[in-house]
Amino acid sequence: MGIFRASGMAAGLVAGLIICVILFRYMNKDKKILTKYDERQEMARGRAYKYGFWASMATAAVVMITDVAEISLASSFTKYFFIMFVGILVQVTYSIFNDAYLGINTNKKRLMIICIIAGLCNLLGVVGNIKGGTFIVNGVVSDAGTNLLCCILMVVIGIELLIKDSMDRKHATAEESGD
Amino acid sequence: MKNLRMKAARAGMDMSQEDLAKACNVSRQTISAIEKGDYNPTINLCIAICKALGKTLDELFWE
Repeated sequence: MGIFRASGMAAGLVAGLIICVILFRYMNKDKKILTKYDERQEMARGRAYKYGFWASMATAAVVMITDVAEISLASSFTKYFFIMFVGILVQVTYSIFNDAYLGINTNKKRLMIICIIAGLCNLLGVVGNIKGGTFIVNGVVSDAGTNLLCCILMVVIGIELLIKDSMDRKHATAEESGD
Repeated sequence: MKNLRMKAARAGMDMSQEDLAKACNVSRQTISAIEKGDYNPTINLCIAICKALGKTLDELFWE
């Protein structure tokens, strides 16, 4: 059973990767395959990845301790995904608030649409699992917990981008009036 | 340290931060950070800014 489950998960990851590639190409329709960042953004992103890495390490340590203590809150898949989720969240949050998330050639509107679609798809998965009674199995969050984490990530990114946009508008107004 | 000379040169050319950013192929926030003194640009970016504003390196970045 384990090998079939692992094969199914691998197939799901490959499918997800293909969808990401398609969405990424849609986001960069202006034929510039890679998102361009300027030098300041590259430095900020470097710091963001560093903090994300250490956040993942800290989360992995916590997960290891809970495993040793035999505290079972979620399935293995969800626990490992949570480690990645924390790292990604830290990296994205630092990047957004240091103006290093959106590249020079990124279309903000397209990105928001993709975030909304990805969030809704995952939300559908969560709702489906809750309705089917497969979200929590034997008092433990099942693999469907990954859909919830993805949904939360998309929502948080969207909210942070909106907050940053609002802050930028206020700063831009203040700077232009000070000119 | 704030770069008021750069800000003055930009204002003299009647350019917004966004205009200068596009001319130098960087983000608006990077130009803002340079003017506020929060970021020290590399020599390549300094040269690009000087070319966009029609000034020399000494005029904009030397202390």
